[in-house]
Amino acid sequence: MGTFLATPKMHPALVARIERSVGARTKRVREKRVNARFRTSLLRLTIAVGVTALVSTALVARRRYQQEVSRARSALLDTVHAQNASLTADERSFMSRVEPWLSGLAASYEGDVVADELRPAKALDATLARSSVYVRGPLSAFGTSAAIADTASASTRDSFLLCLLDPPASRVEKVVLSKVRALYGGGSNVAVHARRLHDAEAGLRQMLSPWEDRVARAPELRDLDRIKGELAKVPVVEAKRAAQAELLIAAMDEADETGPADLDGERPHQVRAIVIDLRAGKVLLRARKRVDPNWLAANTRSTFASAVDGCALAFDVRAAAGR
Amino acid sequence: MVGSPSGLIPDLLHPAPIQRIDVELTKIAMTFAFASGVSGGLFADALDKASIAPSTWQPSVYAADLFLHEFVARCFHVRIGGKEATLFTNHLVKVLERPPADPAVVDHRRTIAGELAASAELRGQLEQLYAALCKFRALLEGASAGRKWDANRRQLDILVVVKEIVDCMAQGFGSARSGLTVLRAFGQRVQQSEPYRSLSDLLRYEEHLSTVSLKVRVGADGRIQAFEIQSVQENQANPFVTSPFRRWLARIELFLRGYKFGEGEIMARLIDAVFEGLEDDLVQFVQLIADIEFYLGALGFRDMAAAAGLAVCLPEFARAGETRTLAALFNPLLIVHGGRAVPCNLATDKHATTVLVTGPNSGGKTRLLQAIGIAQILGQSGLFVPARAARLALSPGLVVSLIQETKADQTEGRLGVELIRIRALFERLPPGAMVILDELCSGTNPSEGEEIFELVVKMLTRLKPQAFITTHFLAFAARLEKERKIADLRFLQVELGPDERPTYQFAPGVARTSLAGQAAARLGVTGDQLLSLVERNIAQMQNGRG
Repeated sequence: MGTFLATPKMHPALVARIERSVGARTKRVREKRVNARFRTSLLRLTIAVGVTALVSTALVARRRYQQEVSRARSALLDTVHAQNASLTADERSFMSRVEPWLSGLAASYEGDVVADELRPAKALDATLARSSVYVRGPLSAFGTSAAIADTASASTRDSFLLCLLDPPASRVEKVVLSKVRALYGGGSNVAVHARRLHDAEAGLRQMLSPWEDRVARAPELRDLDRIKGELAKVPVVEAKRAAQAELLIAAMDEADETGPADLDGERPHQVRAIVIDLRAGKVLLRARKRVDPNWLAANTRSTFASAVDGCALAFDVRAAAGR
Repeated sequence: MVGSPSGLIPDLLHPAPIQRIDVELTKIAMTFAFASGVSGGLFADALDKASIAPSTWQPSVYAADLFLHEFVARCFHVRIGGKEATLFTNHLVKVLERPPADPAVVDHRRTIAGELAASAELRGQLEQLYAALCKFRALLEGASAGRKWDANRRQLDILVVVKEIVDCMAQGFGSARSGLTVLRAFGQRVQQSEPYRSLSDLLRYEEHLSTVSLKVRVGADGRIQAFEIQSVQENQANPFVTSPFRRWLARIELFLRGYKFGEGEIMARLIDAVFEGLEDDLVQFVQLIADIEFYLGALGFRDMAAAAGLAVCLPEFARAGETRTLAALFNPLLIVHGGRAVPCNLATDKHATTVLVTGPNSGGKTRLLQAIGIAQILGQSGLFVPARAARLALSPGLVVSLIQETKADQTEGRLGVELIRIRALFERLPPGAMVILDELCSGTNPSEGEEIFELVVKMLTRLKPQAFITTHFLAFAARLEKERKIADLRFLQVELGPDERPTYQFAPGVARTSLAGQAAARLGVTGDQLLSLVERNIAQMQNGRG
């Protein structure tokens, strides 16, 4: 049967006529009429073949692209899985262990504490030599996880932390200022075992975000490339190191006292300082000290009030611990 | 001779069917018309070129004088359902002016005409068939093209009518015993053929692809609230029904073959294939429609006569030596011109006679000759003659000379023309033919004209014609009647009433007067009437000068 118009139920004579009707003419007529219909038919056939070839090529290209996307997705998922697998359970729960301490200290002050293990000579220095994370911020900025995250991101390794780990020889302005200058001059290399809480918080938050979902939903190769770039920027090493900290060092600035603030924002106020042994789950040091830039000379105060006060605060805290 | 694939030609005019149209040319024209909706009058063209059964008659020597074309145009009517059909007048004239030479053909036609006249049922069926054929023609020739913008719909409409025609033929004419039986046989033969079955299947497919059962929920307010389809059942028994997927493939196939991409193109190809199978049978419809007009037109003439209180009949045929009878003969041309036809009886003791008709002017002599000629043509064509009863003899030819026209280019005077006419008459006249001459030798002085007249009559009798000649040579005719030297010469005269006015009846004998004086008085040509006109003109001239 030469045409789809004919059916097996049709009479053979009718089938023959249908075949003639759709163009399967007799040889004589065909030869007589190499006409427009034939040329149209040829043209359409060529177009149809061309379109089919284009569509096929497009489909093959699309298929290859999908395979490439699939491979890229698979590779990216492997990276994500490896990254997730590198985190220990303690590291994953690091922030959930830190936050209660911070919010607890911010809620109420229960008095100064110096743990017994800090009392022996050089015990404080030995303790502070352990890996630690540090955060400082207003007392009111430790109420929630989000607030803690914001505070951590704004908190740097300041003069309080550096002087706590490497204190000045005395509390004389000149000595403190000199110490501050020395620490700030090469501060980044000083006490590298004490890290910002932000390193742990931000790094872990990024590492624990739903990378798998994003990768699975990414439709195109460029989306996967973008995710891959973002994943590469995750500070995995810093986050893991921070999350492995044994101590939490925090300073919380209480509400401002009345009076004008200095040019760098420093003003007289109470500061709560705390050192927590995260492994033991114990407060090693808790002290509440007042800072007041009024004791500084005018030229020092205009430029270094906060830094000098921070260093002096560290001196005072260490003094409270007996050192 | 090419017949239809069904093996039959539905020829109503001949006992042995004849294919009179050019089948191949007509088929090509029909295919074109079916495809395009424009035919350029394929029916008329085919019939104009159609051949006619062998005839010994020569229309050129009688048709114009008998106003045959006018007679057909005005007396042959077919009125069906209150509508007047447009007949193929030229073809009808062509058939009538060449009566068949074979008496069996004449008898065949007489039998059909007689059966149709006797059976209202058969006439009704023939009219129904004719109406369907006219519809077919109108659709095919594009008469309704303005309303049919969808080519497939138009072609399907044509196929519906084709089926109607075939069914009408196959299911009708069961009671026929005449040549009408060929219609039923043809219809039944077509019905049994594959193309007809394919046609039926296609039409069913077109109107019944599938059956959808619906369940309708009606709300309290009578409105339809919802309906759901219970089932969809395709008419799988129909060979044209295919799956939707196959139909889609067919569309792709057609597109690649250069056709349009659409469901309509599939139907167009199927219609084309079905029509091709039927073409050989459909071509027969062209000839058939003209044949039917031949009989229905004659019946229309019969109806017209009846409406005028006149009767027609199918004549009996006798040999030349037997009695001629024409009872209540009338001239149909008088009816169509709004005149009153007065029937007359015409009887002679035998057919092979020369009848001299005399009588007054305007006495009906020429009308009588016309009526005799028309009756002979109709009778010999197998149709009704304008007479209540008739007994005629078949004639091998007819020569009529009624009109004496003066032509601008004629080189001879009136007598010369008359003599040329006589010469031409003898050149063509076969023995036993019918001769009708009006006022022979009236264009010269009576004494010399009478000599030529007598010569002509003597020579005519040797050919034993059926001759009717009118003359105003009354004395001459009276002498011939008295002498009786010419055998088979008969005399008829216009009968006059008590008031000396013609009664338009004819009696044996020679008229005593032409009543020229009466005619002159009737037309205002008496001495007193002319004198008064002359005096009036002179008076007007003198008043003008004064």
